[in-house]
Parts: sequence; structure tokens; C-alpha cells
Amino acid sequence: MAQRTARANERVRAEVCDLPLTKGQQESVHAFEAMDIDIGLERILDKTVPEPQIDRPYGDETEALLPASTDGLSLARARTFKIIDPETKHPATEQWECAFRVFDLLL
Amino acid sequence: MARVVASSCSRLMPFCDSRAPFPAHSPQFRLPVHQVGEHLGERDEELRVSRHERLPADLSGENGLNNPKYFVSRKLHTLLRCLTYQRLSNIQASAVPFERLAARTAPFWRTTNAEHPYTPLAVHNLKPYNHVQGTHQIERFFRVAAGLDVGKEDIKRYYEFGDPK
Repeated sequence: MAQRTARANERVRAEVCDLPLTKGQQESVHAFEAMDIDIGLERILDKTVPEPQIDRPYGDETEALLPASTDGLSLARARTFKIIDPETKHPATEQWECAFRVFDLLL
Repeated sequence: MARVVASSCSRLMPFCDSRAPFPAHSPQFRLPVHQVGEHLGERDEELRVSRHERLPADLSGENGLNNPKYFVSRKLHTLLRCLTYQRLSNIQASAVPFERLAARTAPFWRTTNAEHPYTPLAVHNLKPYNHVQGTHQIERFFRVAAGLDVGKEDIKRYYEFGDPK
């Protein structure tokens, strides 16, 4: 999406404002950062963010923001299980599939 | 086939099997490592062809090969050791990324018969291995974020879902 927006705006590089980050996702990113101080998951997720296939390069700020957006998604995903079933402790396969479907609709 | 580039030999020197080192002039040692991204399609072709290589009679059984799925040439095997499943098209020409890649991928390519460097090598899995990292951190994260206890299968799903997104 960022690529498409950058192309539509005739930018050479995809900037931060081209990223389709919603308000909720930004709040998730901030919540994740606050939570992750003593967990240390961010540095692991940073390694796993796949390089996107791009036709326009990302700006420095944009590139730095990509792992953070993944982190925010992780938090949103974890909280989705509680919305699907507030009583759940061990997410079942059906609940994972529900979460997948929710995210497929939104992303 | 992939283009042969002699100048790239020195970059792969540290990653060769020390028990059966290749001479630097050997044509099998010359790999197009500095243009991995550009030659990705050719490499795919090479991998595809290698799956059809047949099991040599002298390697069956007595050399401790317990039904390996594939046999590949040492050239291809060295290529495989340098492959990473995720950032293949972004490998740069320096030795440092290759060192990391080799360290990451080498344990998953099981080889045998190292005493005979020119015979095909056994490889048990040509598919990229999706290494799951940070199990404890992910478990803790789910516990803190939503009070969930997740297992190995859940972490696998977590990665499968996260990658394409």
C-alpha cells in the first residue's frame, strides 16, 4: 500500500506518511513499546520482518518504522484472542483461524 | 545455469567443509555469490534440476546414509549452505552476511561422505527451514499482553501469520 501511495503522490521514496498505519495500530505500537521493555521481543521480531518486494525504496524513517508496525500487529493479535473469547487461556485452532480471518479482513 | 565468477572464490573460503577442502582452482568452487539476487531465477532452476539427480549406487547404505532425500553436487551444496530462506534477494557482496548466513543455515544441511569431495552429497531437506526464534519471549509476551499460555504450535502459527502480513 505504501508503494502505491508513494507512486500516486509521485514520490521517489515511500515516506512515513505513505504507510497505511491506522490510529489503532499506532496505539498498539506505543503499547507494545511500553510493554516490551523487560520482555525483549522487539529485537527478535525485527529479524523476522521479511524484506518487502518493492519498486520504490523506503526512506530511512519509513524503514525504521516497519518493524515497529509489526510489533503493533503482534500486540493486536494477542488481544484479539481475548476479544474472541474472554475466558480463553490456551488459544485453540478455531480461535487462531478466527483471528486470521479478522486480520485478513482488516489488513 | 548460474554464471561462473572466479573472483568470488575467496569469499566462500571460510564456509567450505574443512574436512574436504576444495582447491581454489577447482571449477566446482566458483560460485556466483556476489550476484545472488540477480541469479535467483537461475538458482531456482539449478535447485529444481538437482531434485532429479539419482542416488549413486556406491552411496546407498554402507556410507551411513539413512535414506537421504536428495543428492546434490558440492557446488550446489555450498550454495545451499549460503542460502537463507527469507532474505535471499537482499544478500550483499560482502563476506560478513555470508558468514552469518552460513552460520544460520549450515546446521540444517546434513552432509555425509566428506572424504570424497567430488561425489554427490546427501541432503535431507532442500526446503528452507523456518527457524523459530524467541520462544520464551513470545510465550511471555502473550502472557503479559493477554494472559494467554501459548505452546509450540501456537508460536508456529504466530510466525506463519506474521510473515506475509
